[in-house]
Amino acid sequence: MEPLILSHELSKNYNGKVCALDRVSLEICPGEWVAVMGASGSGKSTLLNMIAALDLPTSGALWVDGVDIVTYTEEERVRFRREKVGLIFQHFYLIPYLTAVENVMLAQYFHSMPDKGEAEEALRRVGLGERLDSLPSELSGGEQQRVCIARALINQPKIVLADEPTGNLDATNEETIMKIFHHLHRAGHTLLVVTHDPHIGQQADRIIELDHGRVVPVVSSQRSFLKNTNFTLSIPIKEKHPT
Amino acid sequence: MREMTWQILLASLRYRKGPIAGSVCAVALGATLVVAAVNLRLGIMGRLAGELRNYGANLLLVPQSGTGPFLNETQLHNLEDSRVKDRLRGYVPFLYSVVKIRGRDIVLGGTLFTAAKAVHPWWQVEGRWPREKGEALVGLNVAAKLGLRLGDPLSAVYKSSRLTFSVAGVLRTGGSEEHQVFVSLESAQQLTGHPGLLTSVYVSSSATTRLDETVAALRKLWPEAGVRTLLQVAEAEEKLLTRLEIFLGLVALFVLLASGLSVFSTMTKEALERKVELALMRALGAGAREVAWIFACEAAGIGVFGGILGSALGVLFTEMIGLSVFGSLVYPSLMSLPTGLGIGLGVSLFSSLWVAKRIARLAPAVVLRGE
Repeated sequence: MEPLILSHELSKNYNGKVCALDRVSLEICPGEWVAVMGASGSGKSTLLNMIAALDLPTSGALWVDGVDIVTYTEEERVRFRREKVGLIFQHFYLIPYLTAVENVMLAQYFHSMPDKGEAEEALRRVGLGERLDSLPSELSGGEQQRVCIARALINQPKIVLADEPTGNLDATNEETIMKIFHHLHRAGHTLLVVTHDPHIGQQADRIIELDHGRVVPVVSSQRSFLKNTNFTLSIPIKEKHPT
Repeated sequence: MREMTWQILLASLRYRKGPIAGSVCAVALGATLVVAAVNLRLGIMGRLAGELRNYGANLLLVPQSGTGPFLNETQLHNLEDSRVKDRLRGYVPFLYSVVKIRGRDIVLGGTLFTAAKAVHPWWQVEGRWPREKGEALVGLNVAAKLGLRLGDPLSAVYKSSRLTFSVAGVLRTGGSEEHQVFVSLESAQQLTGHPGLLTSVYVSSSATTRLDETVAALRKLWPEAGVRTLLQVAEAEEKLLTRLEIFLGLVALFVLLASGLSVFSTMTKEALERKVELALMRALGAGAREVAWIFACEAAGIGVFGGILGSALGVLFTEMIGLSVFGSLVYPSLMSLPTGLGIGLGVSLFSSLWVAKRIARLAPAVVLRGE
């Protein structure tokens, strides 16, 4: 299967000093759920921002859906974001003066044409049918994150990128969100979830662990542990993704 | 699509009532000060020019050299011509000659007293202005020298002609007129044997017109008349008004800059506080133009509201100053509303888009990371 995301020697330096990503090469196949794990400052979010075309690498190549997005112009990157990517943030980032349904419609507005019925349906699918006209301030953290998920999915993106999606949630809401992720995965969505929480990471098909901007090679004990728990392993540099 | 833009704008305005009201107030304050400064500049200039014109005529028409010693009275209709009429505040003809009164040589001026009173409003008359042909206005100095009092008869002799007048009033001007005697133009023409002739015409030009243009128009219409500016009055007027114009122009400019900076700072603070919102829109796939459009619409709304409010307050402020300084209302300029709207729209759009552009340059990832 052709990888949906393929990076080669992807690096990011800030001011020529701080190396956020150091020659990261990886592949993610369509329909795969991949967790990117690592300590704070390991480069997880930087990698996610690169794939979302929100940030540019200092060097290397990054193919998404067969196109090297590093070569994109600013206009092409905007089009890429609105058409291919659905973003979920730790801090939700909902527009505070728009209702739940309007927040979802906002993504439609930038993509093509707002469709209220479709936006309402997306919210119903994440269990927010009763909170369509609520402002973010009237929603709990879990509900706000579900609005974000509906917003991320409304334009049927090729990839869903989530940066610490449960980082601000309690256990109950975390479970609800993870159920939604499992549902999305079963529906064939490609998910890339950045997390520092092993419990979240272990629910993915495989884990890519970053340390100081580098992909950490997986040791055998980890591999067996994950196999025993029915989870796929992360791919060390240059290592082929197990099929 | 457009509906969604309005939805976003209205929701934003509803949600951020406080900050929006603050921005509208900042824009309105700026517009108020600029509108007031512009109105005062225009209003004060007109009023001062009008008041300066009360100090008398600023143009003198005399026979053109080579055309004889007199102007023809029938040519006075030239001053009523539509091409100059609006440029003139008034005019008064004179026929001067030297006559003998009580054995002394005295300058006798024949004039139209109604016109003289209008063009020389500062002339002070003890007694009253002559109403009839046989009455005279005697300069203070002449009255003192000849011992003339109100009601006294005086005989004026010119060559072999003699006419007798009675003193209706004594004239104080502080100038050469105090050494002269004034009678009706008709009497002077009859006494000197120069019917229908004049030696000069004093003209007071309108406060709202340029003096050099009025001079050119008069020369064209009445070629037999030499037009001289009364330098002392005209130059002083021009200098004073030019200086005042520059001063008030500078005041308006500084007010514009100061209020512009204040609005700019309020609007940029407001826009900076929304940088996450802007970055989110960019992350969701909004192009720089779409974000700029949303910000521009919002800024335009603030600019229009603030501009209209500022124009109204600016006119009110002008009137308050007019009443307290001049004791009367200052006619507001028709430019008040366009000025207020222009300032409001210009400053709010500039501030808002300037910040939006700067934020757009930041990578959304950086803003959303909270760095």
